Parts: sequence; C-alpha cells; structure tokens
Amino acid sequence: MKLEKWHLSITVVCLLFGALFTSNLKTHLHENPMAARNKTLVNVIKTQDQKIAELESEIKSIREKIQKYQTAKTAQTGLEPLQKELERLQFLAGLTAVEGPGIEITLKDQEKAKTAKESEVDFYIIHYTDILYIVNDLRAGGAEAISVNGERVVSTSDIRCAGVFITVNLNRLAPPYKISAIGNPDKLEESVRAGEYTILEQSHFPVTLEKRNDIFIPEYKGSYTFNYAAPPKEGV
Amino acid sequence: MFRNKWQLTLTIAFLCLGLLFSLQFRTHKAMDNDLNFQSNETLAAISRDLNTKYYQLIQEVWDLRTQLRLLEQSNDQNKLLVEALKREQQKLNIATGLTPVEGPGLIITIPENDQNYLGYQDIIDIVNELWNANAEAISVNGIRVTGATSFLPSDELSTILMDGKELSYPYVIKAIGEPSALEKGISIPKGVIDYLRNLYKIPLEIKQADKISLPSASAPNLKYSYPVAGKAGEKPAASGEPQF
Repeated sequence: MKLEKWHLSITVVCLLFGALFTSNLKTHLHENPMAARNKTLVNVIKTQDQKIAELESEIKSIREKIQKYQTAKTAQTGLEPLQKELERLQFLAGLTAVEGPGIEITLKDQEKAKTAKESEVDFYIIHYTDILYIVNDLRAGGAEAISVNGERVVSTSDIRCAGVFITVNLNRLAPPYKISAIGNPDKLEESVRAGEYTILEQSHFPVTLEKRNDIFIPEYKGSYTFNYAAPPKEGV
Repeated sequence: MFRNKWQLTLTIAFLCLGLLFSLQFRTHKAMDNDLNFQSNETLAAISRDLNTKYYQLIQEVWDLRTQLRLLEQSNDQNKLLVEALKREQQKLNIATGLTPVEGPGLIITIPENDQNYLGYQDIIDIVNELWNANAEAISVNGIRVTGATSFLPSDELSTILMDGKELSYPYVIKAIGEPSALEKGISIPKGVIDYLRNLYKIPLEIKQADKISLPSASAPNLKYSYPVAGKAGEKPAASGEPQF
C-alpha cells in the first residue's frame, strides 16, 4: 500500500481525537460522582450566597435611610456636632466609599500551575497568606483604606482560604487578585516592595504594582457585631 | 468546494478536534473555581462560615432597624434621637478601637523560649485567625489592634515591631469574644497555633478569661482618602424614604 501525506495527517488527527476524547470522558467519569455527592452542599452554599447578598443590600439601604434621617433631624435639633462625629467614625470604620491616590497591585497564579503535578501546584499559585502579608505591608506603609477585589478590608476582616478559594470577610474571591490601597503612593510602594510582594516577583509570579491618583475603594458591606466587648462601666 | 472526499473528512475531523479541545480546556478551567469540584470537607467549611456570617448580618439588620425606629419615633423627643446617635457612636468607637473595651475572651501567651523565635508573620496569622473566630477586639502586648496595625521584623530579625514599636517577650495576645469559640477557632488542625506548638515546639499558653480589658487606640489622621457618595452603579435609596 502506498502511503500518502494525507494518510499521516488523518492518523495524527485520529490519534489526537481519541486521546482527547478519552481524557475528556475520564474527567467527567471521574468528577461526576463527587459532584453529585456534593450537590446538596453546593445548593446550600448558593442559597447562603444569595441570602447574604440580600442582607448586604438591605443593610446598605437602611444605612442610607438612617444617614438621611440623622442629617435632617440633627440639623433641626442642634445636634450637628454629634452627627459630624458619627460621620467621621463611619469614615474611619470603613463604612464610607473613599477615593484618593494610592497603589494597585495585581497577583496572578503562574502559568505553570495549570500543568504542574498536583504535589507541586502549591508552588505556583497565590495563597491567602500572600494577600494577608501584603495587606499588612500596606498598613505599615500608612494605607488609609484597602480592598481586595472590591471587598473592603477593615480592622476585623479575616483573609483566609477554603479549598481553592481565597476569602476576604468570608466572601470567595476569584483570581486575579486586585489589591487597592489609598495613601501616600511612594510610601505604600516602598513598604510593599520590602515584603511579600518582592518575594512573589522574584519567584516569577506575574505580579504588577501601579501608582495611581484615582483609587476608588467601596464601603464595607458587612456587619460589626459586638456581643461580648463593651466600653468599661464608668465610676468603677 | 471539496475536490476530494478526504478533504471533507479532514475538515470535519479538525472541527471536532477543535470542539473537543475547547471543551477540555473549559472543563479544566471551570474546575478551578467551581464549587462542584471542591471536596466535601471544603464545602462543609464554606457553608459553616457563611452561616456564621449570615447570622451576624441578621443581627446588623436588626440593630439598624432598631436605630431607624428610634429615629422615626424621635419626632418630638430629643431624648430618643440622642439615644439612637449614642448607640451608633458606641458601636463605631468599638469598631475603630477608639474606646477601651472589656469582656470575656482568650489570652495567648508566648514566653521567651529556647526552641524557636516567633516571627512577625506568626503574629499576623494569629490575629487573623482570631478575627476569623469572631474576636470582637484584640490587643498585642497591651496595644490595641486596629485597621491600621502592622507587624514587621526589626532589623536584627529577632524581634517584632508593632506599628514601629519593638515588642518584647512574653508576647501576650488578648482577644475579646466568646472564649470557647475563640479557643476552638484558633486551635484547628494545621492552623497557626497547631504549627507553632507541634512543629516548632513553642511553649505557648492559651487561657480563657472571664474579663479582659483592652486599651483604646489613638485616632488615625487620614490625609489621602476622602469620602465619595453615590458612586456610579449604585442605585438611589429605595422608595418610601423619609420626607422632610
């Protein structure tokens, strides 16, 4: 039999076709039982996500109403100083969206993460601690407001991981991670470059740092709940 | 268009190949961030955390509604208005660390030891774990932790600077909150306390306390950020807003 060029092409295509098909099939066969078993939990989580989003938007709307009421009422009754003090405290507590100069950092997993062996993937992905330590360095550089993927970082915020997800205020974030901070851009950059950021850069992570004068950081959407901590009673 | 049969075959084969290829790629990409592909334990942990958050938000809504009701009832009673304002003031003062606070909680003591140094990142981790365990206020060596607090290594790397000031042993981290929840929260396997204790053999001591007193922090002087209201994409206040 005489071999022609196209025989080879077809063979190669068929081989690739077969290989991909089986691997595709394997992925599905392998993952589906797990997916099925987890379906209930995934549904619960999706409901929780939705309820939380609803509550957050309700909180936002009540806070706006309260703000309007208070501004009007205090003006009528001469309590403006107290109202001004409250506005300052809200600002300090991260309950106000803010703008100003600062820096923006983006962190991405390395391309290698996609092809690396499972035991080595950890070397090529961004971990929650990277973000936690960069936030710390930003604070050391005098950051006045910080957000990660639009999630405001306040005093009581936690930055953690759950499986492959990095969470801030328990909200799951998707890569790439964008950390924004308002403050003196030079000081922020200097502080950040002295820490975790540079370690990532030297380990060939595709990270970027940009100074800007128009950083926007949204307000904290969550709760401050104090059931145990209270100011000391006076006169003790 | 197709002069030979095999051209058609080849075209179809390549089309299918491309389709399969993109499907394969999509599957892999989706797996990374799809809840369906997480382990059962991870999902359970996510759900548990969300549940806690849910109830905290419910409480916040409740607080805010009470606040709003007080305001609405304060029409001719200044007393109610002042009460509403003071409530909010107290809450925000605790949140920003501008008032001293007391309450039950947890005390973690790390004595100077001949096993291992405690690094500044260990302190960051412990504080972060405490916030996750729903701590309401935290101090390190008597200094209140706020949204501006940072921990850095000193030049000799052997000591820790908190907000630029050197900390000395023993390191004492105090947190106000539900004592057993705090202790349970930071003692999770593979958590920072677990590593420090069992891997680095640091003899740290954890104690629940009925009453902890934390000092206040000083107010930050914000120079670069200014508030913006009604940023694009936000809808205006809902209907039924108060008339003035």
